[in-house]
Amino acid sequence: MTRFVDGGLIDRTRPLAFTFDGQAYRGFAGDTLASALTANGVRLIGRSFKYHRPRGLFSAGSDEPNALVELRTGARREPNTRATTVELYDGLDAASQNRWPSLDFDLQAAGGLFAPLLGAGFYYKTFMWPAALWEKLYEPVIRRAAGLGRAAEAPDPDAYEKAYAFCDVLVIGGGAAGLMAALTAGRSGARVILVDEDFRLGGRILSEREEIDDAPSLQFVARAEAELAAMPEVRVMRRTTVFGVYDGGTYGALERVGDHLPVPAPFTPRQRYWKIVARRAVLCAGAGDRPIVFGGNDRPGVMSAQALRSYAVRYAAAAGSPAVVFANNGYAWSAAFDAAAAGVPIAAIVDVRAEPPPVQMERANRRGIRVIAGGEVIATSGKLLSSVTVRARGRTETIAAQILAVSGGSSPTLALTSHFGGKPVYRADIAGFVPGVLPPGLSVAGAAAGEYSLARCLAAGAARGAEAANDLGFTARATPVPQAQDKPITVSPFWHVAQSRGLAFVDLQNDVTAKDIAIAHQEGFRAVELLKRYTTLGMATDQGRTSNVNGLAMMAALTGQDIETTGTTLFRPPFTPVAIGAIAGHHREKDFRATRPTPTHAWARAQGATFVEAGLWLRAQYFPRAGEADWLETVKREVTATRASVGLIDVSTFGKIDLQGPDVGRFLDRVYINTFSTLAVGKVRYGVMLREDGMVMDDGTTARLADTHYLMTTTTANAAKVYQHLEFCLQVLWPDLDVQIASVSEQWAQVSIAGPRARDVLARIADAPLDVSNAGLPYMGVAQGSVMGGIAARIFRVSFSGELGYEIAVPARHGAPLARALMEAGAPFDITPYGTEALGVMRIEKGHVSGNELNGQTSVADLGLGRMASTKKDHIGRVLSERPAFRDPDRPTLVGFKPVDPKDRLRAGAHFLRHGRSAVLANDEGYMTSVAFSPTLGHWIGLGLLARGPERIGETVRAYDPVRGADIPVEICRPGFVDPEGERLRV
Amino acid sequence: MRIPCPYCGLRDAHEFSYLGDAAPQRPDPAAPDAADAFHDYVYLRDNPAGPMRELWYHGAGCRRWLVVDRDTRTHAILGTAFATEARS
Amino acid sequence: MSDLLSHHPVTDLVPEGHYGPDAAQPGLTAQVVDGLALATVAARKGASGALAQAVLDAFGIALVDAPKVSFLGDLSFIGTAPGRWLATAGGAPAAHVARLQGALADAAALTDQSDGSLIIDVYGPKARMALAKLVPLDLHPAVFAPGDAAATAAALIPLVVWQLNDMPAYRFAVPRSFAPAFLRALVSGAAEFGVTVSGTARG
Ligand SMILES: [Zn+2]
Repeated sequence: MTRFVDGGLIDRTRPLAFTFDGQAYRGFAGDTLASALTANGVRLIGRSFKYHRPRGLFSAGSDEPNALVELRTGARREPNTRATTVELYDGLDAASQNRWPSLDFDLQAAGGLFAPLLGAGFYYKTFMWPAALWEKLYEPVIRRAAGLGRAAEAPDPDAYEKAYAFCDVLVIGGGAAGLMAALTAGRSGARVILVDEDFRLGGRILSEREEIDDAPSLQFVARAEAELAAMPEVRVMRRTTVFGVYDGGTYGALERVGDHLPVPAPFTPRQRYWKIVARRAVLCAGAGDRPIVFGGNDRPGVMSAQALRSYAVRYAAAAGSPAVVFANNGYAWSAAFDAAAAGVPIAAIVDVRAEPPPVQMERANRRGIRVIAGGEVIATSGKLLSSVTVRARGRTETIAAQILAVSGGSSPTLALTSHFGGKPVYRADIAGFVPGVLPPGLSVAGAAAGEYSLARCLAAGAARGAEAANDLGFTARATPVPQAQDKPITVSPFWHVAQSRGLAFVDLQNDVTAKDIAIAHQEGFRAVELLKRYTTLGMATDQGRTSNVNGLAMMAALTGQDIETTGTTLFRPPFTPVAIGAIAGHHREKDFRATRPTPTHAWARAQGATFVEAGLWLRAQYFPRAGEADWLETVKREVTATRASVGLIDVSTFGKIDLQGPDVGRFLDRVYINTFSTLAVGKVRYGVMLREDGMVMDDGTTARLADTHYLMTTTTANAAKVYQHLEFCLQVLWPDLDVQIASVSEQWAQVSIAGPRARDVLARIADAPLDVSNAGLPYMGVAQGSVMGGIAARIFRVSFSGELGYEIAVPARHGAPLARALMEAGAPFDITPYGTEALGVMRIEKGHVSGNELNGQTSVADLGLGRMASTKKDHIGRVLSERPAFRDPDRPTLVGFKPVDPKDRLRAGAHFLRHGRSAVLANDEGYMTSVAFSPTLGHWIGLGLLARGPERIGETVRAYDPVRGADIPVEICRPGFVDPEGERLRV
Repeated sequence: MRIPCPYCGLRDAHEFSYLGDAAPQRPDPAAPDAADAFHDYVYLRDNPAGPMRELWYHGAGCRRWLVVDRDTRTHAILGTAFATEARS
Repeated sequence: MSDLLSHHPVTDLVPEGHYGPDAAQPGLTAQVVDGLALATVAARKGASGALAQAVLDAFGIALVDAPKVSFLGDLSFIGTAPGRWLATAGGAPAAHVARLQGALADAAALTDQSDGSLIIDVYGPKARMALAKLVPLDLHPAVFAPGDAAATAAALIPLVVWQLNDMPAYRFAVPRSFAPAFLRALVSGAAEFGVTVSGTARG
């Protein structure tokens, strides 16, 4: 008994070949991996998480706890996929997981070797043992023993992407209720998205032999699909799971675009991560069959009653014969009748109820199915199920069976309703939890709300769909509703066969047993949240969809409380696992984040530059030449050439902010510690701005281009932060100021030339009448004119390197031509392009602070800039920068350092200690912030923050660097190793 | 979470950056108790469970600072306004 | 990552050409538009009315203070923030700014941005589907129509987008240094529909 000769929603004209654990099998289009294995008589599919017990299929849907498999091989290997949701394709290569050496014979299962170790609370108890043993013994053993599948070891070759969708009404689930909700809302003209995790719409209709409007219910599905497809504002997304509900009507969904193909179609991703914004949503996720806890309830062949029906009806398959049904409700009986009609011999229906409803008894009789009323399964046998032992009315009987179809009732699939904290509510009449307080904008219809009959699903779907649309101003009608059976649910609460033989599993995926629940109770972990964490009940990838209710019902029984009082735990996103690749989407590898090239990037690349990341920017780090041994040698050459003649660097990455308006001067006076309202037109000033807490936020130069027009530069790192800060000041603090700001960071390319010949180079590209002479453009002046024969330019005479310097700004498209023009003009002077490394060396030689010093923990006084602050005005950060702690003379303050032995190398991060003091935190006097080898001086130099530094010039201290094993004496000196008086700047 | 910007319309919260309570006003720096007042202004914050007026910056949109009324328990947005108007 | 762009430098604009399945008709086109001048127009404090009047007087355009496009001929004002527009026109940047300066200087701060952004038009029958993977806005024609504009971030890239017509065609102003990343994100998502990239060959 495997595949039936006819029936099922499979395409028998399209056979598909696949392998499982290397063995070749065949299935059909329309199969899942699970149904195809069933049709091939494969009953052993995996080994359990902790105890390595043999396991088969429990369900036929996404709630499957057992049948986790690895799909594909090599770089595309994907662990932990549920065989029940894997759509079969030709060439599918699947493997069982968590077994060694083979699925059939698993060494670790032998004798339940580790079982005593792994009971409830094992993590906590194991940790109590000597910690020394953990790393060497317990962890490796547990890791080998307990686990899921193996991730691929090569980079994933497939693409993933993200997408946004917007709609009026999102319908989650395409079964009877969902189809009606989508149709009803869609007919009103609302924009509707219908999402279903299956590759085929219909939900349980696909697996039940029911009628709608007196015709096979599949015809209803086909009509609904056709009507939805014809509605322009309705979008149907198959193979898509809504995995999370988020604030503001945002839903996360995962579309498996190419998972049902050997490789995704060209130019399409494997999976697409959707952010769906819906004004209303209707959850129609159905319900799942709940197991009953009894000894041996995990044996391959024990499955849910609805799974038996689904395999038989939808897939025309059963993995064995005959079947015994063990249940407490009428829905399981109808599953048995459908399965029987599809061709599965039913040996008996065992019902815990002493007197099942007469209607059902009669229907069973008519089909010749034996009923054992008031019965319980107390044991099972066979490695693969071969018989079940039933006790009824004091008699015990063993019945041969390869399938035991179990149902303890239905559990509404309500996980999404609790993503906002809504606690599910127990309903005794259906012995199950239904959604409690719902997320805003979301309603629930059909089995997910505990409305089980087909007629009620159809009606509720229509009603909720109409309400959602009408809420939004559409006119939707919830009638007429197609006619269908409206059989009442009959269920008698039953969770656990207490007197049964063998391990009785509550949580199949996490191997939590009835005994574990009892231990948790005994040891006082009785609240549901404690029960969950102590036993790991419901903490597996399925979040306990088939196990939570039984677990807490059993705890309720142990504590003598009712289920309502015991309560339940909450579900959290994601509803089903989401691959990290889907979350990253396009943002991986080189596209992990945007890369921003400077305007001269291509030119610098052609010069052989090595680049370095500066935030999102790529900047030229240095320009190596053939024969140079390492970057240090290159940087030495760049610094020496610049200081001797002239060098060139792109500084376009600095933030540039255009400020206009009558109040700009006043505004800048409040933002900077120093005064800008008095700055003359045509002049540039260095400014420092603080945070309100008194720490330095950023520094840079600001030029006054015209009376009411300034241009601010910021550091590369803080460009966006400073802009946001200025907007804060203008909009929140001082909205009365008439100042308009605009970022022009991208508008202007800016190239700096520095060195004694810089003016000679500039003069060669400046157009008349631009006067770049020392008198025409003095130090800290700005000139506007044109260069290169008509290109508008701003020329700032500023310097970071300490040399005569100019920054030349041109519209960005002219950035690379400017660099080329400067190189050409500078050729007679051997102009040398340099990168950020040489720039860093020169600024350390000059004693300028940079990012390492502007680290958010330094004040202007710490940086030796205290005298810049104007005392005549208020500015942001002034009040708190005058706090006593900021004036403490023991605060580490900026000074320079050089090694006592000129051969010693300095290290940034080294801490300063007085000679003779031990290397403990109490003796710490500060640390080295920046170091460089100075080609100009011929030895290493550094900047650092040292307690009372400026008073200690000439003293020596230890620079202690335990990380790199260095402890050397260094001499404290003034910061400013080259041209400390700044004479070179003014020539 | 989605925030209705008075200019741009309803946008995902990712477009905004959060500053915090909109209530503190920058104190008078010339006041005799300025040091204490600034300390409170910079460091002291209430942390209410419920509706709160907060400053958010629509950095990936219109770059306006907004005052957003948000219920910290539910993330429900009760209203938004430009900071220039809400505070003056 | 798909192989589509993996061998191409992230710092360069995506080369001209067709990406995606061979098709007679590309689903969409991404075209870098040359020769458009841009300037920020920011109303001075309390001068919104004066600015609107000046724009009407000088250019015959009724300026809308909203995320909309106000235009006449090839001069467009795209609303990006309260009292703030991106003004675009054909021709040289200097002439554009001078023209605006001449008419609006008393009522607005003007800043040349012609080199600050790359203008990229995205159009074609599948443009909307391709942009759903990039732009976090509802581009449904009932929600975002020709004349609508938005400042937003796509694939973490700040940009301004406005709709030109219901082909549909969308125009993007993308900060210059982000243009390569923008095109990479656009093309990798749009290749499924077939996308032609043009105008990226120069500089
Ligand atoms: Zn906004």
